[in-house]
Order: sequence, then structure tokens, then C-alpha cells
Amino acid sequence: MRLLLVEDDAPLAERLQATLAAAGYAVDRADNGQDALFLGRHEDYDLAVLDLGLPRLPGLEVLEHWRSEGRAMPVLILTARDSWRDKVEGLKAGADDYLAKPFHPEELLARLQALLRRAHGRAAPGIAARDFRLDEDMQRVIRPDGSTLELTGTEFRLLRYFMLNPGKPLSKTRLTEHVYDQDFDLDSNVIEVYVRRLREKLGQDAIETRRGQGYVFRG
Amino acid sequence: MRGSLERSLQWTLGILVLAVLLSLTAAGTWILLHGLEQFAASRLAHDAEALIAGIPAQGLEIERPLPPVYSQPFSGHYYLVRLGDGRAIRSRSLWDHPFEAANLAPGETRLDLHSGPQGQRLLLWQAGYERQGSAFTVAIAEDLNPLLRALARFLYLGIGLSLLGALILLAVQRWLLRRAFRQIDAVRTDVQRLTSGAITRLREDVPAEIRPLVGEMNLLIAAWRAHLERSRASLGNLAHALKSPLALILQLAGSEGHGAVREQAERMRTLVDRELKRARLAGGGAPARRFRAREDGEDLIATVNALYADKGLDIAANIHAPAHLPFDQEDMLELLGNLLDNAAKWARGCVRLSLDATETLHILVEDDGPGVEPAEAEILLSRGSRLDETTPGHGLGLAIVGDIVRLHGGELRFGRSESLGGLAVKVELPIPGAGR
Repeated sequence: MRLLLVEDDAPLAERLQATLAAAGYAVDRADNGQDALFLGRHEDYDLAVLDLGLPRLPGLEVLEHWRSEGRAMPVLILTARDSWRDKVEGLKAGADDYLAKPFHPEELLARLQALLRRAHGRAAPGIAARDFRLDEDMQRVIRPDGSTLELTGTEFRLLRYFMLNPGKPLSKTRLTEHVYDQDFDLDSNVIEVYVRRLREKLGQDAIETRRGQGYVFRG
Repeated sequence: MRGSLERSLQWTLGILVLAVLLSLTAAGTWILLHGLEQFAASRLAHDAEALIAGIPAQGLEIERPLPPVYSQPFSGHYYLVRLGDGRAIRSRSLWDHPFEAANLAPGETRLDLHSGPQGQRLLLWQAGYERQGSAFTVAIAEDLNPLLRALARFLYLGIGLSLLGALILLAVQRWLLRRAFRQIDAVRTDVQRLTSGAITRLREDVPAEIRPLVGEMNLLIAAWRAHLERSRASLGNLAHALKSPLALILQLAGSEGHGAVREQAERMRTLVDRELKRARLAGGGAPARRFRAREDGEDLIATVNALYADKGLDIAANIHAPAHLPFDQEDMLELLGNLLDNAAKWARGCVRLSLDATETLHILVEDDGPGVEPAEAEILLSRGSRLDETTPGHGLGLAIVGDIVRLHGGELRFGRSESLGGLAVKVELPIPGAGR
């Protein structure tokens, strides 16, 4: 999952990036409104975490620009401004959720997961497909008999993206973008390696290869 | 409070006008009386001269007759000539009335009032003469009653006209005052509308006398508003400045297991939250921005729905209120927001908001959650007043609601919802300016 973190407080942003990365997100960071606007405009993010009090361009305006340009990714506003007026204005500007600072990291992660599920049209908590469920907190697969299947970080991120987009052909470039962050300059062939590993764990028919299109997860 | 300006002006001016008009009437009467007396005296002197010319050397008959009025009995015109040898010539009009004249030396004259027959009041003119060696005194009198009666009529007319004049003047003055005060009334209604938040400054097209006052008030209002905006802005900045480091502390403590640090950070977070929110409340007074019950209510419901999107709550509102209510928008957003948030937190599927503004603002927020026992409700309310004992985050919203209700002089009650079975929070706030 590719996530844009917009936060101007450097130590907090660094720490958050680490927390988010540990939870399996590919995190890009922006520390001002204009960079945030640019990244959100030109990159394809699954999620954005947006601070409101930003230098150069206020967070609310960034959000309004995104929305008016048709950028529809879920946006969570993470701000110190916790008055209800701010909340109302934030959600009117197009935010999907609002979390006031200071916050518990677990709450942020839970809300981000909920946003992702909603964005992919799943109301029920947890991601389930075929005959297993993905445990997002522990980053593992739970089988119907209760036994678990451990995943590496990259495997988890890749599988989650597959499971949130079942039946859709996903190109290697797209998968790379959503599994690794911006600074990660990687040959997209690495995706092949991870797809093979997932097939070994979940069954060969779980992920279908489509020549010229990429991969399709069979949900 | 001092009495009404209008009434005191009416009284002073009324009394003054009446006094002036009455003294004018009195002076007029006196001048007239004096003039008439002089006029009558000179006529008497002329008649006396005619009389003297007719006095015979012998006998008691006046040789040249005077006007007939001196012959009719008690006609009001009389004469008497007292000769040096003690004899007297009396006019026929005196009839049997005893009438004496003084014995005056020649050249001496006297004018005085004398009572006459049949209650007449006589102006008596007497003079001493000497002719051919013999001295005599002439007394000639005229009844003043007809003149006095005419004068009295004039006096009564004068008093009547004075009273009428005073009344007309008072009426005109009252009309003028009313007209002037109507412009002040405009200021008074403006102040009321300002209190209720319908306008944000007083109109300055007022009489020059009160323009400085209105101008000064506008300055004060502007300064107060700017001060409020500034403190809200600076508190927002302070919150921002404090919260990011706190968020970082929570992150660090959370992942590296510093339980005590985390606990202290939580306490700081609660303190900062509560105090900043408290300081931001406006309370009564002219609101900076007014609460729009319907729009704001719907915005809040949309917001709470989004914040609790996972629960798929059914939140509905029943709002009966005018477009704008004289409450500070921020305060009311905090009040309703916290109530709805709390209800949504505990609800299983359903939240209801009723808002009704007639003389008092009634707010009822219900949910179908577990609800609270009356004793628990007390604890919920007192939470936050003893910050060190609070469980972080929990119940803080309701404590803020309590603060807002107290600031606006309202009432807050907890109960069980009759229709939904969960918690029912009832808020009653007096609407500023509604009782006037």
C-alpha cells in the first residue's frame, strides 16, 4: 500500500514513517503543502495522511485541490486542531477520517486499515479471500482451521494489495509502486520472485499471470 | 438607575412654562388695574372741574348740571361739595347714603378707595379749592366694580390661556422629545440585536449627541471580537506547538515500552486538551459567529457519520429552530459535536438528535447503547474537574459539554432514552435576548 505522509514536524514524521513502514505501507513524505499537492497530483497513492497546519500551502487547500482534480484516494487528516469546526471543515473539504494529535499509533493504524477496506468496498473488518483471512496486525495469513502462515514484510504488503484488488489485472509497475516507497529504486522483476513465493504458500492458482497485463488475484 | 430623561424634562419645563405664563398674566392684570385707576381718576378730575364751575355763590343748587348719571340714585357716580361754612352740596345719586368729605386745604388733592352704598367700591377723588376768599372741598367718586369685574374676567381668561398654552407647549415638547428619543431607541434596539447576534456593529447614523458613545461602543466591540479571535488563534497555535511533540512522545513511549513516560504523556495530553478547549469557549455575550442550528447540525451529523463510518450508524436529527440562534457557533459545535460523538461511540446502531428552540434551547441526544446509571452520570460530569483522576480521553467530551452548559447558564441532565433504551443527554440553554 502506497501512502503519502504530509507532516511538517520532522521528528514526528520520521517516527510515523517508521511506524507506518513497519505496518507494511510504502511511505512517501512531504513536509509542506506544495510538495504534498504535487505528489498527490502526480503519484498514485492508496492513502494519504495529511496535517492541516502546513508551511506554504494549508492542508485544507491541498485537500480541496486534490478533490477538485479528481484525486479520490482516502485521506486521513492528522492534526493538532481538534475543534469540531475543524473536523466539520476537514470532512467537507473531502477528508475521509480525522484524527487529532496527540494520538496512539495503534489507533492511527486501525483507522488507516478501516479506510483502506472502505475504499475497496469492504465494510467488514479484516481482509478475507478464498478460504483464508489476512491478519493485518500480525502480518500473517489465518487458515480456516485456525493455523497461521507467516509472511515476510514484502510478502504481506504484496498479498494485501492483491487481496484488496481481487479479479483486477495488476501490472508489475503498479505492484512495485504500491509495495515499495518512492525512494526504493527497484527492478520490477523482484515482484516475480515474491509472486512465486506467495503462490508456494497459498496455492499455484491463487495468482494468475496474464501476459502483457500483469497478475490477477483469484479471490 | 436614574429616572426617565423624558419625564424629568416634562416636569421641569412644564412647571417653568406655567410659572412664566402665570406671572405674565399677573403683571398684565396689575398694569391694567393701575392704568384703569389713573384713567378713572383723570375723568373724576375733569368732572370735578365742571362741578366747580357750576357752584353757585348762594344756595345749594348746582347751576350748571352735570351728566344725568349723577342724578340717578346709587348710579355709581357721586359728588359732594363741602363749603367753608359747613354746608354741603350732595349729588342726587347719593340719595340717603351718608357720605363725608375730608376738609382739605386749598390745592390739596387726595385719591383713595372708599366703600359706597350697596357694596360698591368707590374711587374717591377729593380736592381743596379757594374761590373769592371762601375755601371748599370737592369730593367726587365713581364705582369701580364694573371695571374690576371686567378685569377679573381678563384675569381668568389670562389664567385659562396660560394653562392651555402650557399644555400645548408640553405636548409639542413631548412630540419633539419622542422624535429625538426614537433615534436613541434605534440605538437601543441595535444593542439588543447586537446581544442576540443579529448584527455585529451598531449603526452610526445617529444624532450627533450620542454618536461618540455609539462610536466608542463599536470600537469596544471590535476590540473585544479581535481579542477573542486572537486568543482563539494563539491557543490553536499553542495547541499545535504542544501536540506534535506530545504525539512524538507517545510514539516513542509506545514502541519502546516506557510505561511511566506514556502515562505522563497521556496526562499532559488530557490536560492540554481540556484546558485549551475550555479557554476557547466564548460563553455568553455577543457571539463572534452565530450558530445555524440546521446547517451546523447536519454538518456535524455528516462528520460523526464519517468518523464512525465502520459502525454504519443511523443518525437522524429533528431540528426546530430559526435559521440563526444567538449562540457562539464554535461553542455550539463543541457542545453538539461532543454529545453526538459520545452517543456514536456507545450506540449499537442508532443515534437521535432533537433540537428545539422556542424560549429555551432544548437539545436531546439519545442512543441505543448501554446507557449509564444515575450514579455513573454524576462521575461523568465531574470528570475533568479533577483531571489527575481521569481516565485519559474517556468522558472528556462530556466534561467539555458540562463546561459549555455552565458558561451559558444552562442545565445538563442524564437519563435513559425512552425510545432507544440507551443514554439520553438533555441540555437546556436560555436563549439570550428571548425573554426581553
